[in-house]
Parts: sequence; structure tokens; C-alpha cells
Amino acid sequence: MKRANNEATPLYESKMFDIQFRGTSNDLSSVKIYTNKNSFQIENQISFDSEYKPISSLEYFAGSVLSSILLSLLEQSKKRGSLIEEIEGVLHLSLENPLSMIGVKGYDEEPFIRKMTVTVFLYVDLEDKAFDDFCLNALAKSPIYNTLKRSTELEVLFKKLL
Amino acid sequence: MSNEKIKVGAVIYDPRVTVIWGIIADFFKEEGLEIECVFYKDYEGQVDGLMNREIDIAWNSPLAWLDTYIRTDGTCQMGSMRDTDRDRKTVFVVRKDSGITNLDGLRGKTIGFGAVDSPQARLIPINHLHKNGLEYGADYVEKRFDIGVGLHGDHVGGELDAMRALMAGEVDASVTLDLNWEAWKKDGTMDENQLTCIDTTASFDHCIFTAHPDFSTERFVEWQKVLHRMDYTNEAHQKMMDMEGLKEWVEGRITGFQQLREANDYLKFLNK
Repeated sequence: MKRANNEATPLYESKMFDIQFRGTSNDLSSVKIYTNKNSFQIENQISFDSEYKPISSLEYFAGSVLSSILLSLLEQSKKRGSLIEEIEGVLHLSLENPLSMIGVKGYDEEPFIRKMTVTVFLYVDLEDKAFDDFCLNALAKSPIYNTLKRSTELEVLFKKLL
Repeated sequence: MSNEKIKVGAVIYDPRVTVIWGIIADFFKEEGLEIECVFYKDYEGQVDGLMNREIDIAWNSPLAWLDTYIRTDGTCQMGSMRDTDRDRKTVFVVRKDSGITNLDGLRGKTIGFGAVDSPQARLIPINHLHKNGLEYGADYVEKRFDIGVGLHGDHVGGELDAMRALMAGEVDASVTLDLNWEAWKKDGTMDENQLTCIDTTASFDHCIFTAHPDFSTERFVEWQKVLHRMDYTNEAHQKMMDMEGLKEWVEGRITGFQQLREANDYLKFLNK
């Protein structure tokens, strides 16, 4: 059978998956984000109060990074017959110039995420080289990791639990 | 009386400190006397802000109070302070095995101080040494730990580094605020078996609210009445008071700044 040569006209849907979010603010203070089926409210980009309960923009962002990495590992684990027996990750984020965010006079530098470090602890029965290969291959399936590694200092460490 | 928000300035070096001011602002709003907090990077900027009337009231360090006092020819208005701002002392600490037992033993020695603009960890102890016959720049070597310059010693880092240098044998003595000395002995940061206090300064006062000379005295008095209604038994207030290190707001006084004024005259610090 002769296959059609479609190299010149690749299908957009095959190359791209688009997502659209809507954000509104009825009270002109907080923001409501709508996904396809859900919505969530965000009141602050970040809170410096350790007792503040609502989830901030920065917490959603950090949670998104950490969850994407852990889920990538779990998905690859399932494909290999549930290699991972236990998993836990810790994300450390350093926000530079936080005082500019709150309008402290004398601080004008743009606030930005200087560095993120993710440490993943895994209980998995693999030898060292196989462990490294498995983790790195799984990490390569995380779109959020792959995006951020191009734009910011993002270090991911894997530690095998014995 | 005007209903305009009263603008209150504070120096912020850690974003977590804004929580304190959020609680204070909420309380004043509940009491019907709204405030607007204006934050500054350092005290010099805050005093500039007070002089320019960007703010009506400043939460001033003792040195910022003196700066304001000088710039307003003594006409600035003094306000409340924390209970813990009254009757502080600076301690002179040495290693027990040094053989140094009094201030005269520091002659020719190296003394660790905090930041250049720290009242408690540099200016006042230097004046204390002067009053005890040890002249700055002649009778001892100054080793300064300039952490957070511009914050007038609010950041504890300079004093802590000076004490660590003492422990490491890099200096012969170090100075620190009495509250820090007691806290560090208690939590084990400093080893009481190795260090000893050989002298203390006379008592002095620390931070104080300061209002611009043209700010309505009536409003300032009303504002302070509300401030003094903050109650340590109220959970939200307690959180703020614990963070700011007080149990109650008390009346301000400027008698406790005499040593700092002498130190400023001696070192010509604010005249530079």
C-alpha cells in the first residue's frame, strides 16, 4: 500500500494540544479561574503569613511543578509493571526580590523565581544505573519540567530509599 | 477631626513582617480609625518620607528618632513604644579563658561590633567605652560586622556574627543587646561555660513612634489610644505582639535616648 506523504502538511492537532483558561474577578480583588469542568479561586499571588490558608498563585505553580514530576514517574512506573513502591517529593523555591511585590519603597527590582530544587525519594527495586535511566526517562515526559528547564534554574534530584 | 487615613511608616527587610502591620491595620479599621501602611527599605528613607509628609507617623529606630529630632529641630512628636523597648542594655562579652575581667582589659584589644549604624551594637557601646576612658580609634581595634546597614541594627545578623567571631577567637570581646545575650544563652546559641559578661551599658530605650511636627497632635493622641487597646489576650493581637516582641504598648519617652545622643555627638555620626 502506498502511504500518503503528508510531511508538507502536518496535522496541527498532532503537533499541538491547546488549553484555554478563563479568569474573572467579580470583586476586583480575587480571581476565579475556570477550567473545563471546574473552577478555583485565588486571592493572592503569594502570602507571607504562615497561617494563611487559601492557596496562592505561587503555591499552585509550585504544586504544579512537583506534581507533574511525580506523576511522570508514576506513569512510567505503571508502564514498567509498577516499579515504584513508594514515592515522595520535596520542592524548594527561592523567590528573589519579594519586597518589590509588596511595594517597599527603595526596592524596584522585579520579583522572580531564582531557583527551584525538587528532590524525589523513591523506593524502587532497581540497580543504580537502571534507577538513573528510569528516573531521567520519566522526567523527560514531564511537559512542565521540560518547559521550565529552558527558562529557569530547576534542579531535580533523585534519591533511592534503601 | 479629619477622616483621612493616617499614614504610618515602617522599615521592612523581611516580607513576613508585613503580617504584623496587616494585623495592626485590621485592628485600627475595626476601631474606626483607618491607617495606611507605607513600607521603606531603610530608616534614612523613612525619615525622608516623614519629612516629605509621605507619612504622618514613623515606627522609628532610636537612631531614626534622633535623625528626625535633629532634622525637625526637636519639634517632632514622640509616641508610644513597646514595653520591651524600655530599659535595654548592651552587654560586653569575653571568653572566660581570656583573662579579661573589666573594660580596661580591652585596651589594645579587638572588639566585635554589629552594623555601623546599630545603636545597641555599636554607637552606644562605643560611647560607653569612651566614658570609661577608652577612646574610639585609639585605645582598641574595631571589628565591625555590617549586616543590614540602613536597618539600624534591626537585623540580628551583625551581633550574631560578632559573637560567633568571639567564640572563634577572632576578636577579644563582642557587644550585643541584653535580650539577645539572654536568648542565645537560653537556646544554646552561645555557650555560657565559655563566655562571660564583663560590663553593661546604662539603660537606654529602643524603638518609638514619631509623628511629623505638623501632624495633628489630637489625631496622634487618638491614634495612640487605639494602639494601646491592643490586647495580648486577643489571639490575633498576640500573634502580632509575639512577632514584634511585646506584651503591651506603653507611653513613649525620650529620656532613654540620652546615651545615643551622646554617642552621636562623640562620633559625629549623623553629621557625616
